[in-house]
Amino acid sequence: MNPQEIIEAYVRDVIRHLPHRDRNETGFELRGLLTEMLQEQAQQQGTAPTASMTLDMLRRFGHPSEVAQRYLPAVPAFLPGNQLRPFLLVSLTGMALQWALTLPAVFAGQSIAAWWFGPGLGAFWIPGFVVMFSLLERSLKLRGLFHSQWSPRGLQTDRVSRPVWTVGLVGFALAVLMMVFLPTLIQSLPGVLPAVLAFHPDFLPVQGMLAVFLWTASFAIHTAVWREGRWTILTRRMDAATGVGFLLLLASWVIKGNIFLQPATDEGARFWLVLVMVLILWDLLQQSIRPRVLHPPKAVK
Amino acid sequence: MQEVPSPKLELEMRRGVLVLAVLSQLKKPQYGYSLRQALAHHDLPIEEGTLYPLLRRLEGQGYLQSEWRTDDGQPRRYYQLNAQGETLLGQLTASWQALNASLRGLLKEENA
Repeated sequence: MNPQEIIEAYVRDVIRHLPHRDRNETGFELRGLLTEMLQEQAQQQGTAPTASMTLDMLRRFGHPSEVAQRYLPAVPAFLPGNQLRPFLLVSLTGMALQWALTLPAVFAGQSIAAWWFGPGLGAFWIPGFVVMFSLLERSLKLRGLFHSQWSPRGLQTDRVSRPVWTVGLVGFALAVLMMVFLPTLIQSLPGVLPAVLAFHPDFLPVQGMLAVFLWTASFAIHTAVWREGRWTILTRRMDAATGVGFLLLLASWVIKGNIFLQPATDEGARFWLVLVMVLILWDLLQQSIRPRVLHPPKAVK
Repeated sequence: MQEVPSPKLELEMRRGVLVLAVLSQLKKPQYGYSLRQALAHHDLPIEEGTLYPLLRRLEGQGYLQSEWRTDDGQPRRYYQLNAQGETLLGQLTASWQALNASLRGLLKEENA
């Protein structure tokens, strides 16, 4: 990374903690200021700016999350300013999930009061849990622990670690093999489990084969990445295509049902498939994110 | 009893006068970097990581106005006191002078 790229990475890490409306203008200004600081420092030292000089300057400037915090107004004492949005996001998502999982019991005959004084109110453990950890982290930081040193990172790293990927590919292959032999494995389970987990006879011949086809394609793409030691434009596109393929396939399973013979098992499986779809969608979104480009504010004369 | 003054305590004391110091230099337009140099010139160096966010916060609170200007190809954001900022500067200056007088009295007693 050259000095300007390091500054770009730093500015990106600062502004991602700020409200959307302030990001471009604050980032644009900060980038200009840091560039000037670096030029001054290089002039003083009589050399051209270097990557290490830039890193030293930025580390003195402050950790991006701490710098971002100084831009933000004060929030409740238990949270640093830049953690307010993640706190709300985690808390509200967690509570919504807990309510979504427990509210169907009310439609099945449970009284609303019983639900409210049980899982309804109980869902508030999530914000409390987040606050407790935030306080713990803060107190450990004050004692000098958890002091992370900032390092620049590209938003998308194309290089992959072959040893890590070897383990990943072996795990992938084992998981797919287990899924392929799942119907046979289920038959050997004790008690009522084979009956509870029995697949619908119409499901496996076509849908099962489609899933195996997508897994094989995904495995082949990841093997190609492992062999190259990096992602290419082609492998990224093919990976996104298999992701979309999985989304469509899972959506059809969720809509049509008839995965398992037992209605209760079928309902449970469809709920978990929705969660898997959310994860795939999240992964696709993450991969499509490109580094933010800072534009001169409209007011620049 | 420490013989060497604690840098942490000194830093805390300086932080208390930061807003007043910054406002005092913004009667004429300054951008972040030139302001930092002006303050350093008066023996009041300020961490850039503290100064630039402070300028944005003061503007957000309605004490400063800002405009983008392009000098020698480099777009810069210039800050200047507005009417509300002028008033605040007057109030803080008066508070500072009163505080300074009180402290001087206290320290004189201490040394007597």
